[in-house]
Amino acid sequence: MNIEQRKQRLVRPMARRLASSCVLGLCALVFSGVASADQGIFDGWEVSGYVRAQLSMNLQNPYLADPAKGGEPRGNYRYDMSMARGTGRLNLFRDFGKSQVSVVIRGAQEYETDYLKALQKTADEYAATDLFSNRQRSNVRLMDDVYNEIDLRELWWQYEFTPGTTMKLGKQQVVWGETDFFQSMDVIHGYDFRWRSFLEAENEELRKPLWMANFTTRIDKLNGSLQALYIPGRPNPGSTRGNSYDVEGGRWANTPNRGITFAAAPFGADVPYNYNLSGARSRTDSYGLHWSGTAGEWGYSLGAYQGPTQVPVINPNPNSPLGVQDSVSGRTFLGAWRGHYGSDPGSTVGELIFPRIDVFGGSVNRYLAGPDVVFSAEASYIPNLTYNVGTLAAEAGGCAFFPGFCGIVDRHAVKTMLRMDKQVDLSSVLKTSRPSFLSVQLFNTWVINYNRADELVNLAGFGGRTKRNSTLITGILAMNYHNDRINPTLAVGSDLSYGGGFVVPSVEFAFGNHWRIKAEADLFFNRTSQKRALTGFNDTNLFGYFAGNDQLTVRFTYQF
Amino acid sequence: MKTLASAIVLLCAGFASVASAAVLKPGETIQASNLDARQTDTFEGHAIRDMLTDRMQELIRKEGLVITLAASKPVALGKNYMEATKANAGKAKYNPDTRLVEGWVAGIPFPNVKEDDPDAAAKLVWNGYYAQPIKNIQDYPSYAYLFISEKSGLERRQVWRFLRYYMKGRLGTDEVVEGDGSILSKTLMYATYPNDIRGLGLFVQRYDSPKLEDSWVYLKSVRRTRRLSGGAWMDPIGGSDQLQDDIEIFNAHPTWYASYKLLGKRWVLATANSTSLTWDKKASGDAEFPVVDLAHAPHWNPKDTWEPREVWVIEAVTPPEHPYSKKVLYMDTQFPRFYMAEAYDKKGDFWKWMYYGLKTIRTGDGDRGMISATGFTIDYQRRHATVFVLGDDAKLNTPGIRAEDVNLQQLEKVSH
Repeated sequence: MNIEQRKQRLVRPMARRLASSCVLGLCALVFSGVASADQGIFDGWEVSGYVRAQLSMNLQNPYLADPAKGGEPRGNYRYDMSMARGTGRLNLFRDFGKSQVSVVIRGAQEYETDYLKALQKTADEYAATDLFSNRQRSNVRLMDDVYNEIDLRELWWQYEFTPGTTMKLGKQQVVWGETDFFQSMDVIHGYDFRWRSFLEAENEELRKPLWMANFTTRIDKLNGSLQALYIPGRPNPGSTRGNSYDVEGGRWANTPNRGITFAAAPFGADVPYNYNLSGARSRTDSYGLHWSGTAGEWGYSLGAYQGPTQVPVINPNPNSPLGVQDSVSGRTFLGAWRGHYGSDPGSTVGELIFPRIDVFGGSVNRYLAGPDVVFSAEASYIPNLTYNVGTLAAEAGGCAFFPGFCGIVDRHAVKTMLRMDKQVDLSSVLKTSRPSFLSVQLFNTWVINYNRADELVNLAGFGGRTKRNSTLITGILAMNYHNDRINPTLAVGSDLSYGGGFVVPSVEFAFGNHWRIKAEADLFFNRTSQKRALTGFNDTNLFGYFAGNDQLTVRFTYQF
Repeated sequence: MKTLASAIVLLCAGFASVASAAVLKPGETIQASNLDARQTDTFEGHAIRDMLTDRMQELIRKEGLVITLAASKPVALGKNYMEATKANAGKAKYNPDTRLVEGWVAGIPFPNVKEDDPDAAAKLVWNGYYAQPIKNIQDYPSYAYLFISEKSGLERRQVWRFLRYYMKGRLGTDEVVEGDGSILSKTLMYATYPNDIRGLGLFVQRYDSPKLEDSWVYLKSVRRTRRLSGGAWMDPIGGSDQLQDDIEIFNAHPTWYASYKLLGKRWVLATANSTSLTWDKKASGDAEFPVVDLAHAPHWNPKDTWEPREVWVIEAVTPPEHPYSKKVLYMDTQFPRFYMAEAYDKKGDFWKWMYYGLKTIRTGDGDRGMISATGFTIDYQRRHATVFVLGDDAKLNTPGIRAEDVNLQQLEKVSH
């Protein structure tokens, strides 16, 4: 596919979606009565937004393989710019009384730094090693396909039919649950972790909004409200569902896969997305039902969701051109998930899919006056959550070239969170100008029908074996100085089960009404990491993926 | 003979003093340059020095405060408010053991507090807690917080929306209590400016008991509602100089303070009928907020008119964990509303001065209610101030707003 064809491929659906969005927006305005109102269509809109520049620099030398030298490190990228990103966002909102309309548009453009050029070059060189075609470069262009964007983030119309009963139609964001950093009940949307990993504090910027119908009715007798969601499959392309991890080989690709594009992988071990596999079809509609309310001292919520999973799994190609087998560990090769494989069996080793899941869960919160803390908890039960299996790679006698390619199994899982928030007065110690916000959270995943012999892996492509219970702890301390004009924050996290963690100190300066400048260091620690691409697979887990990825980031925002 | 001569001298001196004391007129000002000369001048029969607290004298002399005199006007309180006060007179009882009030229905619980009552101060504070003359709903579509530094003037501002619904002591309705009687008021507020806090929303439920408030915040940046600590009542609001407890000068359940002492009754110059335009939304720069002297250092002095008012002076002693050691409050003797307060740090040194410019407006149902047109909290130790400025679109008792419209479920819907 040449560049022109690629542009057409990208532009046409986008144009169709934008046209549909405009039609919906116009309908919303007409239904809102604006066409016949005293005010003109352009009057009364609240306008806000920002223009932002973000720069980040590698604090370590991230491993980048040299395909020509068998995967040896190809250069030293410490202190190289890893991101030079400009973003503009425009928010439009108008209240018509019984209805409201909101439009949010965001555009981002990056400068291709030398480091990004090196990532693309590596991706192209690896793609050219394809054993099954004569392609010369990767079909993913990092700049165009991952970093640069123009996105209609939100376009919704909200109408109050009767007091307390509203329908919100359009592209929007809906968040359930309490958890920070992780997803338990927060299952409606996926996140795009490719351009900034999980590090953007305002996670509305990472969330992938969806077109949906969002019906909410207040039931005052029960002190709560009921929400019903209908997320049609067709207007929401597969790429907007589930989490987007950096499988394109960009700056936030898991170590040692920077510069390796899954869809155009080395030696033709391609792993493209497949959004149309039976049981994982993105066009299938999704549903959600959520109740939130208060009972005495408690705030609580209950929810049920049916839709695609957030974390993709890899459906192995049973006819992989690189071969498959039972693992020497005793783990048998399970074949394709439910017997279906949708990608080209002659040029792929697997496909990334988002199987549909059911999620049932709830959350509670309460303020405890004695210790002066806010306690929150959340739990979700996911029957038949999909996991990849097989901890060994082919080099050690595993099922396929990569660990996790023995197949997919369904296991019942429970994800729980416990959190404590407290205002701590550090003014005498750290000279803060007011009490600081401290939040400590434990997040646990429990695989109920766990069997060690299954060889569940935390992420296909890595040999890290999933444990029955895995727990992470995180903490946030937000401080304020000079009437909140200087705001340092420290975020820390540790993987209590697999080792490693992160420390993210940051400070934001507020200058007047318009300027905000934020500096941040993203520092990661791990117990084990994989040192070389495509070989030396080991017990690498979550924070091993971030090995070598320490960053220093500065963000300049002019808001209006 | 010597005694007679002394008496004549003293008499002459007295006449001379009276002869030099002027009778001031509305519109005349008291400022640093004429403060000494005007100490003995009178306005509406009161000597100026008798109507300026020591703190006001100091602020005029050293901090550039200028007081513009206005003829006093009777404050028109709501008809329903006065009727409820009369109809329920004598029903409220103060229990010194529990420090709680029993039997309050609506209106001012203790309309006739006597200075020699040992519980006078506590009763006055309870009057303020239960029965500010506002009526049932405060509906403020816009108010601004101005953050002011002595060095740089106006640093930044925030704009918020505010909606409070009173569940008890309701006026002009047969349904004096809504709900089960445990909740005193419910409040929704959310930020509309600047962009980084736009959509930040708060819902606060205040109880008719010493129980700490329940509050939730909607964080638009993560699109999630989060429970907040009820113990934050003595913490600063955001980056402001104002504690939660400083809203409208006193914003705590009376039992949360350690004790109260009545320091007396006196006359002061205060702003009971604010006449200044507070917020000119069409203007820009310093002219946007004419009620604040932003143009002149220290940039935080109010520009409004002051009139003689008789006030109660109450000392409120804070609990040990509170940042202040005490507050000295100035409450009108005609209705329970504060004009000014002084806050002192733990060492007993003067820390902050609070000043509110009040006025009455017509309520949505044709009655009258009182609003704070402005509220100044000035930190003289950190040389920084936070000024609350109410937009001229403020309403009271807006028809059509129901208790259900002010609840947690609405928080996400209204924060955009």
